[in-house]
Amino acid sequence: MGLPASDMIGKKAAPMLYLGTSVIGAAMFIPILYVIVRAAQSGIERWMRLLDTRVPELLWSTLTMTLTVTLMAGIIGVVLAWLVNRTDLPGRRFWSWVLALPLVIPPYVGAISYIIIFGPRGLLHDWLGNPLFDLFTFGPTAFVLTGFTYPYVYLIVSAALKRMNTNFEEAARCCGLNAGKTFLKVILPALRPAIGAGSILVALYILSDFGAVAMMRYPTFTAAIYFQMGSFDRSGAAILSFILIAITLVFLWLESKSREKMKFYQTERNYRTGKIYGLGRWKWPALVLVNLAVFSFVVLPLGVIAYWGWIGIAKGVLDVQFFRYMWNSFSISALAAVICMLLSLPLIYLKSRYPSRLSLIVDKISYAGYALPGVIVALGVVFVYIKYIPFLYGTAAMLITAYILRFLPQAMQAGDSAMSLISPRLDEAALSLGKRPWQVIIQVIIPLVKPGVLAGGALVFVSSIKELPATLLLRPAGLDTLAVRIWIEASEGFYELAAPSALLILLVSILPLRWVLSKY
Amino acid sequence: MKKAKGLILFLVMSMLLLIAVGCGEQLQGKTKEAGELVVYSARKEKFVKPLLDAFEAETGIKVKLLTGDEASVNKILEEMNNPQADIFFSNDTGAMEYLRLQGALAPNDSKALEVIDAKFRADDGSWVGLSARSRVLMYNKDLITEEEMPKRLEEIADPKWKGQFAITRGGNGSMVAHVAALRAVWGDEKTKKWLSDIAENAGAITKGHTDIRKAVGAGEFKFGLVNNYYYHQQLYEDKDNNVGVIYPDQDGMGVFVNAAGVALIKGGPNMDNAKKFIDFLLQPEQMKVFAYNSKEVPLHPDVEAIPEAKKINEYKIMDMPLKEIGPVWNDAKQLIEESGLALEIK
Amino acid sequence: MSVIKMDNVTKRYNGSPKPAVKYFSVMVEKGEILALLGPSGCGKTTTLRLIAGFETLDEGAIYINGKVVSSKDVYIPVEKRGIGMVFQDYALFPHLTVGENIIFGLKQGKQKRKERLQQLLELVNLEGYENRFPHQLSGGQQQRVALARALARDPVVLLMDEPFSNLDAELRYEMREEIKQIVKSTGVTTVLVTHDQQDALSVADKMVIMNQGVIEQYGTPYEIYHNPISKFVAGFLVKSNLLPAKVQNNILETPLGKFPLPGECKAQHGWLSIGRDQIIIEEQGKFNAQVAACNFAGQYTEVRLKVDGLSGELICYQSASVPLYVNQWVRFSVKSYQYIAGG
Repeated sequence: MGLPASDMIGKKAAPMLYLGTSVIGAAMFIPILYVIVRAAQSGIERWMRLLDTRVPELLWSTLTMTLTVTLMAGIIGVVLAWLVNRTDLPGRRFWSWVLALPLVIPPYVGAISYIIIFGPRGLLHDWLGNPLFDLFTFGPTAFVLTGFTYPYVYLIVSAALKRMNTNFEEAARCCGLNAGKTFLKVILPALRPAIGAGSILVALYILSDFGAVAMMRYPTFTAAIYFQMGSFDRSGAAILSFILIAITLVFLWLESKSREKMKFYQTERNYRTGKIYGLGRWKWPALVLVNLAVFSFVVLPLGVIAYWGWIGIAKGVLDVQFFRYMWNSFSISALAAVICMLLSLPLIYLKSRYPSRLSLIVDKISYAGYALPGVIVALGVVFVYIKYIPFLYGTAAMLITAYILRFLPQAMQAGDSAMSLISPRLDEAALSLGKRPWQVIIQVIIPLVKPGVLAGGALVFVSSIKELPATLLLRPAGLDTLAVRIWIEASEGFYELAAPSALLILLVSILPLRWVLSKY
Repeated sequence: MKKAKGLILFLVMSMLLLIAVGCGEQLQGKTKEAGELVVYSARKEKFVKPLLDAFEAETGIKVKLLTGDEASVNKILEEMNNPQADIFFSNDTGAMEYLRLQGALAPNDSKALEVIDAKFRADDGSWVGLSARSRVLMYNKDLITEEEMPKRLEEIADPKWKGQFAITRGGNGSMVAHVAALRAVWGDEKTKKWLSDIAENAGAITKGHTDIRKAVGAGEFKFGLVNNYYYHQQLYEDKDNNVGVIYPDQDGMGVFVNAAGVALIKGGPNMDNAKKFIDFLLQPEQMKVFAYNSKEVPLHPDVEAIPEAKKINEYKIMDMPLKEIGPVWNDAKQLIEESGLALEIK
Repeated sequence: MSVIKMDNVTKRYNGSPKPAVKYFSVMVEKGEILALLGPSGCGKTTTLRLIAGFETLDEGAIYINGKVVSSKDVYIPVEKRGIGMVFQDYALFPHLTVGENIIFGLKQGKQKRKERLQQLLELVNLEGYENRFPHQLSGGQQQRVALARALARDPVVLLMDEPFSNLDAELRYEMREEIKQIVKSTGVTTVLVTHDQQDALSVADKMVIMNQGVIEQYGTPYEIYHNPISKFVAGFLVKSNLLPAKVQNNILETPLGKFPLPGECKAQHGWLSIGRDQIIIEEQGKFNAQVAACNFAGQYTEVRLKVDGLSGELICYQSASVPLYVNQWVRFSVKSYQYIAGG
C-alpha cells in the first residue's frame, strides 16, 4: 500500500470518504438489523410455537436439500472440470463453455421447463398417461437445483486446474504414485479451496433460492418465509428469517475458513499446461456424462422455453402489456445498476487506498445483502420503509433499494478487481505532479476503474432483471416485471404466457456471461 | 480549467441522479391524481382482469392491479398507516372480515350492496360477497359410484379411505375458513382430531384445488375435497371430465358456503373511484362475468347460475354467518398448525 | 555398466520445426553427478524430463540400469522408473507437513516410515522440522526437504531441475556445497540441469554443454574449462575473447597479430580464444590499447580495451592495484591462448 500517498490524501479526502462510506454501510445493514429486532420482539410464546412445529421440519428439509445439492454440484462440477481441462475428451473446447451455460438460466426458469415436461400434468403425462415419477419430491428437486448451480463449482475448479502448478503432479509421480493416486492425494487436496469456494456459493444459493423451490413445491426456509408473510401473523416471518440468517452466517463462516486455508495453497508459477490424460476406454462414458449434463441443463430448458415462447408469441403475447412489463424490468434494473456503480466507487476506493478497520467492516456489511435471501432483504425493506420513509412506500424506490442491497457486492467485486490493478504509485505520481487529491480521483482513478465498474453495473442489471422473491414482495400495484409475470403465469399453468418473458430474460442474461467467464 | 472540469463532472453526476429520481417518479405506483384505482387481488388474475378492463373502458379510470395470494392480507395490514390500495379482491370472507376487525376497511353505505343477502356481507358494508363457493366432495365416476361415496365430512377420516382422496394444504384460504366454520360446530378437540386424521388419510396434500380436480378427473384419486366451482371447471375439460359431486352433510350441519368478494380499504388513495368500482361490480352483467369466469355461483338473486351448479337455495347450508369467521381466523390457523396438517405443502 | 544411457535420443514438439533434443547420447556412471549446462531453450530441461518420463521421445532410447525405459515402443511410467526429482520451485505439497512431504511416496509400515523419516531429516540437517508446513521454511530449508523427499525411496537416479536458481547468492554458494555432499554420501547417480556455469563447475563430476538441442562438449569441468572445443563453449562457459584466426605454416594469423599455433593443426580456419584473466596490462606489454571502460568489481576490475584493427573490444580482469582511466593508452600482453578449430 502506498502509505506516503495515503497520508497525503488522507488528511483531506478521508473524512468525507469515511463519512460517506459509513452511511452507505449503515444503510446496507439497517434492513437486516430490523428483521433481527423484529424477531427478537416477537415474544417467547410465538417463538416456542414455531420452534415446536415448523422449525424442526424446515431445518431438516432445508439442510438436507442444501447439503445434497452442494455435494452433487461439487462432484459434478469437479468431474466435468477435470474432463474438460485435463483429458483428451473429444470437443473439449466446445464443451468447456457450453457446460457453463446453465449459469445464465435462472433456476426458476429451469424448474418451469422441467415442470412443463415432467410435471404432474406435463407433456410426459399427456403422452404416456402418467408422468413416470413425482417431480415434486426430494430427488427431482435436488436434481434440478444441482443442474443450475453446478457451474459455480465447475468454473472455479476449472480456473484452479488451469492455474495449478503441474510440478506437484510430477513430484507425486516421482514419488511413485500412479495417475489415479496422484489425483486423489495431490490434485484433489490442491483443488480443495476451489471446491470449497464453489460449494459455498452453491450452498448459499440453495439457502436463498425462492423461485425454484417454490415452483418445485419443496419447502425450505426461504419459501416458508415468503408464504409466512402471507399468513396474518407477521412476526412469524421475522422469526424464520432470523433463523435463516443464523444458518447463512454459519455457512459464511465456513467460507471464510476455507479462504484462510486458500492462502497456503496459492501456487506461484506454472511452466507448462497440465498434462492431458488419455481417457482410453473411459472416453465413451465421459462423453455420455457430458452430453447428459448439456442436454439436461442447457438443451432441454432452452428448447422448452424457446418452444413455448414461440407458441406464446404466435398467440400474440407480445402486446402492449408485454412491452410495459419489459420497460418496467429494464428501467428499474438500469436505475439500480447506475446507483450501484456510483455507490461502489467510494467503497472500493477507500478499501484499496485506506484499508482500515472501518473500511473492512463496511466492506463486510455491504456483502451481507448478497449472502442473504431476497425474501429477508424484502422483509427488511418493507419494515424500514413503512416506519421511516412512508412517503416512498409503494413506489419503485423500494424495489430499487432491495436490488441495491442484494447486488451492490457484485458491482463492488468488479470494481475491486479493477481497482487492485491500479498501483498506488499512480496516485503518488499524480500528486507529485501537482494534482489535488480529488483531481487524482477524477482524472486518474475513475477513468482507470471505469471498465470494471461498468462490467459490475451490467452484472447488477442482469441480476436485478432475474430477481424474483424481493420483486414479488415489493413491486407496487401495476408495476409487474418480466420475472413477476413468469411467476404469475407459471403458477396458474399458463406456460406459453410465461415463456416469452423467460426467453427475454435468458437473452439478456447471456450478455454478461463473457465477463463472468473471463473472471473465473 | 481543472476546476471547471470537476464542476462539469459534478453537474453530470447530479443530472444523472436527477434523471434517476425523475424516472423513479414516473415509475411510481402512486401518483395521487384522480382517475386511478389500485386493486390488490388474492384471486387468480384471469378471473379479475376482464372486470378491470371493462371498468377501465367504461369509466376511463386507470386500474392498477397487484396480483398476490393470501399475502395481500398481510400487505394491507402492514400498510394500514399508509394505505396504497383502494380495493381488495378476496377468495374468502374470513380474510375480509379479519381485515375489517383490524380496522383496515372503510364502511360503505352504497344502496347497491343490498342486492346481496346480509349473510354474505359485512354489517357496515365494508366488504361484500359476490359469488358462492361451497365445500363439496367431487369424485371420479369411473372409480366410485354416488352410493359408495361418503356423504358426511366426518366419514373421510375413516381409515378405509386411506390414500384414496386429496385435500389442499392447511394454509389454503378456503381450507382455513372451512376449518373455522367446523370448529364452531364440532369444537376444538373434534376438529383437531379430524384434521390430523385426514392429513394422515389423504393420498395427496396439494398446494391448490386445481391439482385436486385434475387428479380426480384423471383417476389418480377417487375423490377430493374442493370448492364446488372446481367440479364445474372439470366438467368443461375436454377429457377426464366424468366426475360427480356430493354436497355433504345434508342430513346434518349442512354444506359450508364461503364467498369470494370485494373489500373497500380504509384511507385508500382513490376512495370515490373504489366505491364506484364496487357499485359497478354489483351490476348483474358484471356479477355474471365475475362468477361465470371461474364457474362460481353468483350471490345476486337475479343472476342465473351456470347450468351445472346447484342454486344457492337448493341445498342445506351451515347456519354460521360468514362474518363470524373473521375473528376466529387466526385461531383456526393455529389449530391446523397444531393438528399436524401442513400449512404449506412439501 | 552405466546407470543411465541415452542413445541417439531425439524429441520433437508438435508445431516446432526444429527438434528440442537431437541425437543426444550420453552415459552416466554409478554415483556420478552429471550437469546439463546451456542457455535457456537449449533442450537441457527437455532432456531431464525425457529421463524422468514426463516426455516421450521420437527416436532413440533411454536405459536405466541397462533396461529400456523409453524408446519408440517402450514407455515405463514415471513412477516405475526409480527416479527421484527435485523441482525448480521444489513443488512441496502445501497441504502436507515437512514430514508428510518427505515420506509421501513411501509404502512401508508406519514404524519403518518413521525410521526412514528420521534418517532423511538427519541427512538433510532438518531434525525437528517434521511438523512444520513448507510455507514456514526458508528457501534453503525447502530445498533440503525437496531433496529428502526425492531421496526417500532410494532412487536409482536423482534428477534436479535448476536446483539453485531460487536461492540468493550467499545461500546458493552454501547449498552447492551441501547438496553435493549429501548426494555423494548417498551414492545416488545424479543428473542436474542448470544455466549457471558456477553451479555446474562446482557441483558436477561430468558436464554436458548443450546448445540448440545438441551436445557441444562432454567432459569433466576441468577439461572443458581449459579446453573448450567450440566457439560456443568458449563463449558460454569460459567467456573468453574470441578472434577469428587463420592457420598458415603453423602460425595463427589474427587481427591482433600472429601467434604460434599450439598443438597440431585441425583446420585452416578457427578462433583464437584468450581467457579474460590471460590478458595482463603491463608496461612491457606487446600490444597497444586504449581503455574504453572500467568497471570496478571489488576483487578485480573489468577493463574493456579498444585495439586498432579489432572490431570488438577485449575484456580482461585486472587486479586493481593501478588505477586506470578511460581513454588512457596502455600496453598489455597475452599470457596464454587456445586455438579453436572450425567456424
